[in-house]
Amino acid sequence: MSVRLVYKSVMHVVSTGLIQYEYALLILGRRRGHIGELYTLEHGMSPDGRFLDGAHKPDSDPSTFFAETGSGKHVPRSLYIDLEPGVIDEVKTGPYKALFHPEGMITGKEDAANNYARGHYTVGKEIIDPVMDKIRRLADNCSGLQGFFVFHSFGGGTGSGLGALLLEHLAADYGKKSKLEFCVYPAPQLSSSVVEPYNSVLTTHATLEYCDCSFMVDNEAIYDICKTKLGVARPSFPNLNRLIAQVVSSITASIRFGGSLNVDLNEFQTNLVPFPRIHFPVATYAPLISAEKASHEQNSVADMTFSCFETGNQMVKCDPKEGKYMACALLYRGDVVPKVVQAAISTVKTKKTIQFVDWCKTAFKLGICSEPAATVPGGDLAQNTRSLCMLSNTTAISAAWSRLDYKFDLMYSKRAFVHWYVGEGMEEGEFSEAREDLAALEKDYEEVGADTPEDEEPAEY
Amino acid sequence: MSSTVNVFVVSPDTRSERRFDLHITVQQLKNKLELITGIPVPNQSISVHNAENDSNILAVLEDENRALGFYGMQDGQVLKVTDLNPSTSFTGQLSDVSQVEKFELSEEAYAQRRGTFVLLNLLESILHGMRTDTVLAYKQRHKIGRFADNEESASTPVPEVNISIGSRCEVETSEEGFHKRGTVRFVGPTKFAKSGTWVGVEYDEPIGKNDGSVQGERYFTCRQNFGVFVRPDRLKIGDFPVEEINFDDEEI
Repeated sequence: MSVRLVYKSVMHVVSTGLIQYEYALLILGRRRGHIGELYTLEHGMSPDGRFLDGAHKPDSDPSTFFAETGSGKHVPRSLYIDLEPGVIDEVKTGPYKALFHPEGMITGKEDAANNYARGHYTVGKEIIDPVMDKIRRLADNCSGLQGFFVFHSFGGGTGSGLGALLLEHLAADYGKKSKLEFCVYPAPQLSSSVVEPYNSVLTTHATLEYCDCSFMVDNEAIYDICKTKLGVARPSFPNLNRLIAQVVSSITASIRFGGSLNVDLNEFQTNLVPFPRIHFPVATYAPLISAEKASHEQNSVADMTFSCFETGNQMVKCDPKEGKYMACALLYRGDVVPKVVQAAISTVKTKKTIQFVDWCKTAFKLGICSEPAATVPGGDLAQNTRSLCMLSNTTAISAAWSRLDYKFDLMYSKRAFVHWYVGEGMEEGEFSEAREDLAALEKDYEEVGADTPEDEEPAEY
Repeated sequence: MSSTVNVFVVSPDTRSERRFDLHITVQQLKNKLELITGIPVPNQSISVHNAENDSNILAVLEDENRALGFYGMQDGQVLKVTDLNPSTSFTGQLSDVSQVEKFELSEEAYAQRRGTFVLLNLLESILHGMRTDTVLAYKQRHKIGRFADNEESASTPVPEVNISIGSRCEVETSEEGFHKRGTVRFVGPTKFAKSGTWVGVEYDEPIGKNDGSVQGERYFTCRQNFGVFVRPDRLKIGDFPVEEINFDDEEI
């Protein structure tokens, strides 16, 4: 029953520079990054990528996501890709314009029009070669490239279509590097576009094999958090994106900063993904408090830990009580000591509502990063001395797949809008092939929970 | 001055935040909106509002040749798109999933799914096993979970069971006055349990759990829900004739 504490020597390796944990960020479509914004703040840099006076934190390792130029400036090792010119133009003119290399932004001439087939076939084909060239250049400048982070949405045309095309190419060219995804999953109640179920099912099928781990967030969950927990009356993209950036930052903190119990990202991934296809952990974040309320809250380690097991703090709408956990990774940041964490976790374990699969009774993996999370000025989240991001692989998420599959079936039974896809050169067979793969994924989640211990053998089959 | 505007597009089936170039015409906007909302261009009626639940209409985008800029739209405003003729489109028909039956993969089809060799990753596939393997296939290939080699069961011999195929039987039940009768169709070890003998029975009535196959493996064939597998100690062999269903005894 003991909590698995893993004191790894990873940090030593990182700080002596023998192996650098270098990742490339690839951001597609509308999910424009406030990530760069947050990373620069956390590493004590100014918006143009130079270290502020005396702000360089001795144990931080910006080389994870930034490359240093000859003039001492740090350029994020990232690539923004959009088929539509408008969005990226904003980054080019925004306050962080000096941070990003103009070459790190690629735009097309026409948009994907919410159509997976356009993003994947017709329009995507024209842009993929220059994109892969740029990635090659980024990769060549790394001494120890670890892998790629791809940020995209499931519902839109660029995110789903071009995202899948990009992952296919990354798998072909960089087979051994890890490929992690951050995907924005369709919201359960309201679709952002009418063909969202098609795009999502098609892209999930296309990337299932190439991606090692996909962290999911859904717009509706984020929207609700902004509204109810952070008191934003009418949340819009900047609010949603800043919150997502906060989660992303916590996930990658362990490879960017030191800490008493630092666990590297690969190790978390190994723990979180028991079967290659079951690679969709749910992210949960605490504390989610607005700046006004922050002074009235205690925010103890125990409070944070308990609230991460509540649905209101989840970034995907699903109910973990309906399923079983396969693994939980708890990534603490800031002023946190292992002893207190252990006490909190033993309390969590006594709760009946938190169920684990039979083959994995106590799969808690801990990480503590001493660097507290920064907040973006004007952001909705209060600055805190400590925070927690939990990543959990639970069978409950299959309800989200099921919901999406059912919507797909309704539309496909009427052959609604199928001609938009066929018109872009996609074969109709891809629809049923993708849908079957997703049906198998639902079965996979059933199979995960199917192992019963021998003393509880069912009386009948 | 920015030449784009950030607005919320709300239609019967969708809600999203979008950015549009103020130089495009209403006609071009409608073309874009068809792909978002699913409402065909000729059916669209677009009105501008300050907020979603604000019924006060600031403008109606009527003139298809005008640029969006003409209507003085501002960031954060709402474009409501309605369908003037839903009978000719899919509007409103795409939310009630109860109209169709959800597609599910049968146990057999699932069990047969294996990862496919992808030419692209051929070498990797050979070295590391196939990443597209379903969880079931993965468990079988790597002999884990309930497919793990069980040394205990291998060493203990399967006890002899004296039940012959084709004999009549009755399966024990806790319900009084209810007889679960059928014919023995299978006796032996199975893939769904790690060890021991199981008896496959075809019931006289559809009170079973399967059609003679479990988890994609077929042991005998009968109609769906007529088949069941139980441990030998839970059934009696003997002269159990098919029960006549006598409706006279029961209240209907």
